[in-house]
Amino acid sequence: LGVADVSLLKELLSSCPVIKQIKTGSDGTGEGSWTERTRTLQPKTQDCEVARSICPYCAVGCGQLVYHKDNKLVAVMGDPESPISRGRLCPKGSATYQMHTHSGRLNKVKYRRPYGTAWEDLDLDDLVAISEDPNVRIMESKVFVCNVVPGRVSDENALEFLRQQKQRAA
Amino acid sequence: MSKTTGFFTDSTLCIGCKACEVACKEWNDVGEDGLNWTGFSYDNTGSVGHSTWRHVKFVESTTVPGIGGNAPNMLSWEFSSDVCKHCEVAGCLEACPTGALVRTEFGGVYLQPDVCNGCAYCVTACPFGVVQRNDEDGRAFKCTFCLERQKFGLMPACATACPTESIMFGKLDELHMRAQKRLETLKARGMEDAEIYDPTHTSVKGIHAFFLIRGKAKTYNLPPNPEVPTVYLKRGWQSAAIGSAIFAVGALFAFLAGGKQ
Repeated sequence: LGVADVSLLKELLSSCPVIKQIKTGSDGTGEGSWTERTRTLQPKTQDCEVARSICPYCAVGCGQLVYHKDNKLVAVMGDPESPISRGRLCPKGSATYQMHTHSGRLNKVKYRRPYGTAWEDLDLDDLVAISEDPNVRIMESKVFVCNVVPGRVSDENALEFLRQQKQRAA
Repeated sequence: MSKTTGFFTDSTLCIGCKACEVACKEWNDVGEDGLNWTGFSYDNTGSVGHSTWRHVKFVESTTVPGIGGNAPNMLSWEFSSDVCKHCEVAGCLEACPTGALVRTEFGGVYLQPDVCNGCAYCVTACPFGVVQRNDEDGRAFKCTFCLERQKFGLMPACATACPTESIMFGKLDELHMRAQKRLETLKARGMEDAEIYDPTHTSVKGIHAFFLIRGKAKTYNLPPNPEVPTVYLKRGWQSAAIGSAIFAVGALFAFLAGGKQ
C-alpha cells in the first residue's frame, strides 16, 4: 500500500458514520450528523431586494414586503412595520405569492373589437393601453372592458390609481 | 439561557383562519394536497402529513353555557393549529437509521431531505402521526421548524403570519412561563377545563411545540399518553426473548427425551 492509498483509506473510514460516532462520542442524532446543506441553510429571502407594498385583497390594506431577486418574485410576507397588520397576514394575504406565480393565473384577456364578430386574445399591456387612452370613452365607443382591480391600490403609484378610477367610472 | 426555541399554540385564541397553513406552504414550497372537502367540520386537510406541516383542527363539542361566548343551545366550535411537536425524546429521531433526522441547534427535530432514503421507520415511530412519506417523491417530510429562518433570526412562517398570535414562537422556557400565566387568566375567567398539553410524564419527556387546550386532549386528537417506540418496544423484545428461550429449552428437552426412547 502506498501513502496515497493509506490516506484515501483513512478518508473513507473517517466518513463512515459509525466511526464518526465512536470518534465524537455522539449518538448520531446531533451536530455530527448535520450535512453541509443543513449547516449552510439560508432563507430564500436572503440577498433579495425588498419592496414595500399593500396586500391586494380586501380593504383592510395590510402591509406586505415583496422579496424579489433578478426581476423574479421570491416571496411575499407581512410587513412588521405596518401599523395596520404588524406583520400578520390572513390566508388570502399569505397566498399573494401564488396569486402572481400560479400556473392557473390568466395573463391574457379576451377582446372583441367594436363591430368585431370574434374574440381575440390581448396582452394585459394592450388592455391597459386601451383603457388609459383618453380618446377612448369606454361606454360610448362600445369597448367593454371587464377586468379585476384590487380594492386597494397595491403599489400606491399614480398609474394604478388612475386605472382604478377609470375602471370605476366605466 | 438555553437556545432552545418552541411553539406555544394557544387554541383559545385560534380563529381557524388557516393563515398558518398557507404561510407554511408558501414559504416551504409544499405542494397542494388535493382540494378535498372532508365534510368534517370546515377541515379540508384532515391531518398533518408530508404536504401539510401545519393543520388547523376544527373541534366541535358541547359547551358549558356562558363560557366562551357560545349560546347554550349551540355547539362549541374550537380550533387548534397542529404541528410537529419537536419532542424532547423524539421517536422519529431514534428510529431513523440513516441519520436524516437530526436535532438542531435550536432543539428542534429536522429531517434532512438530502439524506433521507424513504425507509419510513420514522413514520411508524412518531407517537403523534406527524411524519408521512410522500409516495411520489419517496422521501418522508415534516415540519422543519423553519430552520433556515431561525438560523437568520427570523420567526417560523406560521408564527409570523398568525393574525391572533395564537401561535407564539420564542425561547422555550419563556413560552412555558407565558403559558402558565395565560392558563391562570383563563381559569380566573371561569374556563376551568383549560389545560396545557405537554406530556412530560411519558417517555416523550415533553414537547417543544405545546398547546393550551380546553377539555380532554383526546378531543383535539392529541394522544393523552404518547410513548416513544424505542422505550415501549423494549418490553415487546423482552417478551419475545423470553418466549424464544422457553421454546429453545422445550425443543432441547424434546430432542433429549426423544433420544432415550
